[in-house]
Amino acid sequence: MKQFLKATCLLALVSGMAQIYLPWWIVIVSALIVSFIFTLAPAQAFFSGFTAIFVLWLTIALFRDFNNAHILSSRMAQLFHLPHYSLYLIVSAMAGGLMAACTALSMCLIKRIFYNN
Amino acid sequence: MGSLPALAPLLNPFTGAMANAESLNFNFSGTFKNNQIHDAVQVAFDDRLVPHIKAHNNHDLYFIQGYIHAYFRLWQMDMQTRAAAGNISEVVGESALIFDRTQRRKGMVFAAENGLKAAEADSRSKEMLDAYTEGVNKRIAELNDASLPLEYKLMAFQPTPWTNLRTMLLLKYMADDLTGETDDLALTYLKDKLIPASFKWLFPEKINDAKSLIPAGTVFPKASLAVPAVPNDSVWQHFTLNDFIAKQHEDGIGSNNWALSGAKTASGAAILCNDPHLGLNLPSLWYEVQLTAPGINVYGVSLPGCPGVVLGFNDSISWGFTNNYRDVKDFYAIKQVPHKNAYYLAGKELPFTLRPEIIKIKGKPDFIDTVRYTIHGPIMYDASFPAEAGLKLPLAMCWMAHRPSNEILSVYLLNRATSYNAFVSAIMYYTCPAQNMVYADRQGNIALWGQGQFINKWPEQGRYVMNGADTAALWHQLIPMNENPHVLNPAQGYLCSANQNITDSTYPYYYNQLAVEFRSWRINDVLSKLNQATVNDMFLLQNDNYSILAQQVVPKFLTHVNHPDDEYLATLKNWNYNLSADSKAATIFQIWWYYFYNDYCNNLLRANTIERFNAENRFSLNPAPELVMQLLDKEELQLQYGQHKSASNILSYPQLVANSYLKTIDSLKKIQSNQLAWSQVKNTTIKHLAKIPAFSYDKLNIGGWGNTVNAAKGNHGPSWRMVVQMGKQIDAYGVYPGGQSGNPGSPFYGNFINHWVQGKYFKLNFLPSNDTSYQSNFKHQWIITKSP
Repeated sequence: MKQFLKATCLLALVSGMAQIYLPWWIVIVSALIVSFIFTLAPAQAFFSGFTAIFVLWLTIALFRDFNNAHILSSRMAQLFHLPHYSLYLIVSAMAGGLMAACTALSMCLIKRIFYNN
Repeated sequence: MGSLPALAPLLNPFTGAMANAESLNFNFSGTFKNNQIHDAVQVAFDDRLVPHIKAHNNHDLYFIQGYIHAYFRLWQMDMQTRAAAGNISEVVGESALIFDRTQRRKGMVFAAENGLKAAEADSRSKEMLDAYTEGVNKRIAELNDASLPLEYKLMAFQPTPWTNLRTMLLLKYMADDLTGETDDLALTYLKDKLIPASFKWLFPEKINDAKSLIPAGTVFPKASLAVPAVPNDSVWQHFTLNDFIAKQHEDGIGSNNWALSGAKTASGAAILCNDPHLGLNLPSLWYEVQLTAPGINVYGVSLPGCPGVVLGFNDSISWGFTNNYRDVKDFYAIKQVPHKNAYYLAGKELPFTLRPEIIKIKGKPDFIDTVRYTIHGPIMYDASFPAEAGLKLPLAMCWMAHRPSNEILSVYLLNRATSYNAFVSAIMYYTCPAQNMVYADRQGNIALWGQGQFINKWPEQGRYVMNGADTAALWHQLIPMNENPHVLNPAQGYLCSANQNITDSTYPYYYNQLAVEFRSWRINDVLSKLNQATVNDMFLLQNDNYSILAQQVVPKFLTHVNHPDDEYLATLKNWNYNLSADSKAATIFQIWWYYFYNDYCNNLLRANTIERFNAENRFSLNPAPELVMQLLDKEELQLQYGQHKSASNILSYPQLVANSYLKTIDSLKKIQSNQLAWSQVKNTTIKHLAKIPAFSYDKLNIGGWGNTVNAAKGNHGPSWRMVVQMGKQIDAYGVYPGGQSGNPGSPFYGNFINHWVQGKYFKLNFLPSNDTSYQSNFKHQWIITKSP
């Protein structure tokens, strides 16, 4: 559990810092690195990646959305046929979370192949 | 939206859409260093985010204007110039190919290139364009993944550098919008199809009782050119088609402007008003700005993509435009030499000039359309690109906008004009699209010019498609521009233009035009009776929903339809003829008139054809609604029907009134009774340029239609309402349906819309050129200093 928390916090921190300067795909690179460093069970790796980016993206989005009085999130929700602005924020954070989760899981499984060999 | 973007770049909150969520408390202020400006520049944004740019020289003024336009409106500038040039397929894919081909075949880029040559030949306009382009590109260079306008992220493309040519393309985009509409093909067809006397009667060049914009009785300068004689009949082209695709003739297109002399106002100062009616889109076509530098202090609206102020006022004068609609676009049928890349002119063979148009298409190979240019202009339609109704005849287009001209210089000089004479010299550079330019100054002068470059045409030249092989059909001499219709300080004390007839029959030159009269009748009616006018009266008139059409037609309709218990008819009987937002009577009338007008015109035209027509046949053009309205006055109406009037499938006027009423009831019953309010039914919408509903505003609670002064239609209407009182102190008011920011994530994106809908105005902060204290009170400030 300790490893899980460490991995999650590190990923959120690293990809959060990196995204200030680098494009969105740095999330994938960060997830690869973090799950390379930490040895987690596949399910743990998956949820660690998901939680880190979901929380990170949601936090940033909520901060921007609050200062914007939901003007843009409402429009984006309408664009994607979502009934409420909050759903746009949640769905986008989930998309980021899933992306990181899958990356972390892949790295975890690749590591297993080498470990088993 | 068509193609979905790859989602991660859009959804991540760092650089995706949420990066464009502008904080409500965002402070735009900043201190910048810049090595492209020559001296320090100060920009103060007021609380509506209108920039007041103060520079020490012209270069810096237009550099910063370009930078600011791009800062707030870059995507719009990009798309509009892409649209002008026929480059939309490159970013949206094949669905835009027909649109792009149309633009290329109109010769839009050819026109812009010719315009650019003229503009760059004058040092003033060249400096203006160069500095502006530099400013736009400065902003483009600064953009990063996060600050890129939202629409680029959605449509997954990047801005390309701005050029002077793109500014010219924007001007041609406006020229096409304002002179693009043509009835030439439809009239050519109808002229051959209808009994000659009926054609003259149904499609007159002037509507009876038109209130010309140059008041009747004005003495015109003596013509320096003689009107050419009409060539023989071989100069015309005839179509052999049996049918034509009917196109709806838009009623009440256009704009309003007027000026009152001090004798008619409460303050004793002249008042100028303008509300150009254009497509209602977001980001808005207009961008408000004040430009101050040595020799210039001007306020008004600018077009993002073009330097200067297009409509507005300065320390001394004010001006406003409406579209002139004199015909400056003619068609020529081209006779091709068989098996050769050439065409006939006066019996000789002339080679086509070929212009390959390479259209890039997203996800597909390029499409190459080689456009053939003749002495008249580009061949717009041919077998590979048929005109209306599949007409395959090669048709070349001769268009004033193709000729070199320097409208930018007009803007430059207008912005700096200090007197009527300076105004007149400024507009002498203004070629196309021709505009009715109203003028008022602080000395109390008012004036109106029907300005543009026109050809000395022989009577009816260009009204129909001409034979391109006949030299008599060519455009010959230019009419000297100082002989254009104009008037200064008329006895009636006011002037107004609303796209009506330009002159009475005493004007010495021939012209034909698209004219509409309802708004002109109403404005003339109100202004002629108005004394001691105030700016409030002007607000009311710009927002006036009174329909002269309804006032004339409804009582006549009601005499032919009588059902004592019918609530719709009862509603109409008690109506004040205002197309106000909540009016149910307005809905009933507009639907009834729609059905009646179309059915009546169809019967009228079928009864007047040379050969007998079937009921299914449709016509390319209807007689003007003004004419149909006037016909209803005539008792001998049924007799006006031509030789087929007794045919069994031609209905009489009372039958048509009754029939169209039944159709109206059917339509009304399909609408829920709580949604019968006129604004609900007509659905005035301000559409985002990419047609994204989430970025648009619909069902606006606004009244009016094309037949009222407040011509707010479905997607077209007053695009900028301005009222300026030119007293000791200039009192100016304005509003446009949009906001200063083009960012859908900004609180400034659509923040003027409510005011516009309610007919309210903002007081415009026109700062004196020497005032600096006022600027420092503004919320947002840019201090830009020159870096070494």
